[in-house]
Amino acid sequence: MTLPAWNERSAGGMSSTAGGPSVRAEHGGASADSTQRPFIAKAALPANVVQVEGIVKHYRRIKALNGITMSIGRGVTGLLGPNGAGKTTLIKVLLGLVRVTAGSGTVLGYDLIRQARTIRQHVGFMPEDDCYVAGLSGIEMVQFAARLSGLPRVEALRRSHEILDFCGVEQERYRAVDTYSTGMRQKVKFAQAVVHDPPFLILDEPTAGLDPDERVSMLHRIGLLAHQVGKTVLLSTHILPDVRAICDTVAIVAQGEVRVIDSLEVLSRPSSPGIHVRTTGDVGALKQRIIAAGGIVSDDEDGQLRVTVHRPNTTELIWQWARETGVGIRSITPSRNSLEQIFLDAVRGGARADS
Amino acid sequence: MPIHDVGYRRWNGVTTSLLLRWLVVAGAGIRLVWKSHWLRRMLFFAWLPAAVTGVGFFIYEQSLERQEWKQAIPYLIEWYPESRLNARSEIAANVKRAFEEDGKTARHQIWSLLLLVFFRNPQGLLMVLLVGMIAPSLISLDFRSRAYLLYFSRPLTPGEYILGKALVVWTYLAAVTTLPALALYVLGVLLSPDISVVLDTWDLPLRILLASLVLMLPTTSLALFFSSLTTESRYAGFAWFALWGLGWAAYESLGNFTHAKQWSLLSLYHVLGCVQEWVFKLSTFNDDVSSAATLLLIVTVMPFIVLVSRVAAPMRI
Repeated sequence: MTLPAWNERSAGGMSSTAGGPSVRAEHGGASADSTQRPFIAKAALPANVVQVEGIVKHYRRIKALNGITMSIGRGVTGLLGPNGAGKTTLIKVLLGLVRVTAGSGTVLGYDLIRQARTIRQHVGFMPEDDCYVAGLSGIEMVQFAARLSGLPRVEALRRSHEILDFCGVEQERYRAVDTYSTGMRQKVKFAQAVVHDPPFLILDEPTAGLDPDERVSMLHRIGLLAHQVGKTVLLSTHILPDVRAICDTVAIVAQGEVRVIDSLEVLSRPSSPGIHVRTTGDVGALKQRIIAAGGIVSDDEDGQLRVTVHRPNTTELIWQWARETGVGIRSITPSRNSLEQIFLDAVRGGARADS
Repeated sequence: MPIHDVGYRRWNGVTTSLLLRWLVVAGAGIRLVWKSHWLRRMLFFAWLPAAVTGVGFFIYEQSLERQEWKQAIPYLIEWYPESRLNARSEIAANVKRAFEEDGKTARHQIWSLLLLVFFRNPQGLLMVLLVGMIAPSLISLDFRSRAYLLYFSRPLTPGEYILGKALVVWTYLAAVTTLPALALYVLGVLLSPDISVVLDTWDLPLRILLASLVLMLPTTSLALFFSSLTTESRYAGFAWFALWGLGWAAYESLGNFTHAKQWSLLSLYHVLGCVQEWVFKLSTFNDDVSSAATLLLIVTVMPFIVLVSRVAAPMRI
């Protein structure tokens, strides 16, 4: 996926898929005045939206974060990790909600420790936990969140309606949030996170509790905000298909450390070119034939052959050699790293997987 | 499907000051509380004591013109609920003496007493009921629904959050105490023979504000403290009513049994009364007032420290 330049204004009428959420031109309400606007201008955004170095956080004897050094660039970054890995603590650190034991960093160019309040002005946070103000309706809650972020009263109401439309919340917006289903609450939580149009979004399990249709819509909205509007998104999730669907970069955290951080494209690329061959019958002759042709063959754990031949038309050659040696072929697939394997290897402290 | 689906649009407007975000918390709280039918009914009836006290102002001003109305003044003075043993007789004796010497020069004392009566009576019932209805859910419900995540992921500090919540309680307390008391003062001025009474009584509005502060600060601190201790607002409400009820009952029983006035320190209602008597210049700053003021200070500060700690706690883990 190609990302738009940050200083490029989102085009009016630019639309995603038919029927889905779309993006329109900039709007500032009746009192719009970009010269006084305290929000960060897109052109002024640093290349690394998040830059932290040696972040350590101790809760008495428990080391929640153990020297985290990472940078998060534009696009969608998936934050993966098992339960208790330190993801939530890292998010709280980025929001300036917890004081770090050691380390330093910046978010959107603001100092993590001294400018926490300013950071929170420019960040939209969607918590994993169910969170709502009891007694408020959906529209009131989003308006309230907008006002807490500094939008004037009427403008906050107008913007809240607009965002709830974008999130697919219809007449239910006038009902008390207490009565909402989990999926509705997720949408309202997402709406309150984006209502003030922050350049950086931190989304904690945004698709948890959503039905398959709603999950796709939510991912679509996130992708649209990241890739068409130009927001930076940090997506904390356990759902690996979600990461594969929209993330540009993946960071895997385990035991308070960043084990892996790289673009999904790089991580998915095998460390050496090759293909997996699933066979039936005696494969000895086929192996010898491949080696004789200058190829490299190895057995995988699951009984497949991993074949590397530095020639064009490798697949056709394998079919030909299999015919010659009388070996049956059940499948031929290009070798590729699976996110599941990368995740498991990273969590276990192993090297990068290449299945 | 919305009629005007504008999709996602950038927002480029001017934001409000970072320093005033706590007003948003207060505004939302005030509107939420206002949704309660019971509260609206209570506020409607909360001004009845003011009307009764207004009759007191009328009787006093009439007594200066007509001799026969003077007989009612001792009954007016007896309205005053006792703050500690023998306080009523002391204050009543002083005011009576001043009135008998010169009715007009006793205006400041009579008006002060009437205002104090007004403060003590609604305070005794309405304030406790009102705060007991409003405050227990203010923080406990936010803990229960994890709304603190919504508040503190915005540019809002725990201190501002507490200030916003406190303003909710203050607003409604002011509506049943400060505003009617100021209205009573204005009524007194309007009923008096000429506008020159303002020169004699100019300090009373300030004393009303000070008495309101004496009432609001400890009660709000305590009520929010209870609310922050639990996710069940009914427990916070129970603790609030128990504090007033048990304190009052303890003073009444022990004070009457032992005839020792220090037991009044057990009852927050009587402690407040003791300090407010001094605020309205009806007693001097003696040991009783000093002890009561110290206790009120402790009751304000200690719960506030715990409250701040409790509010900030969920974000620390």
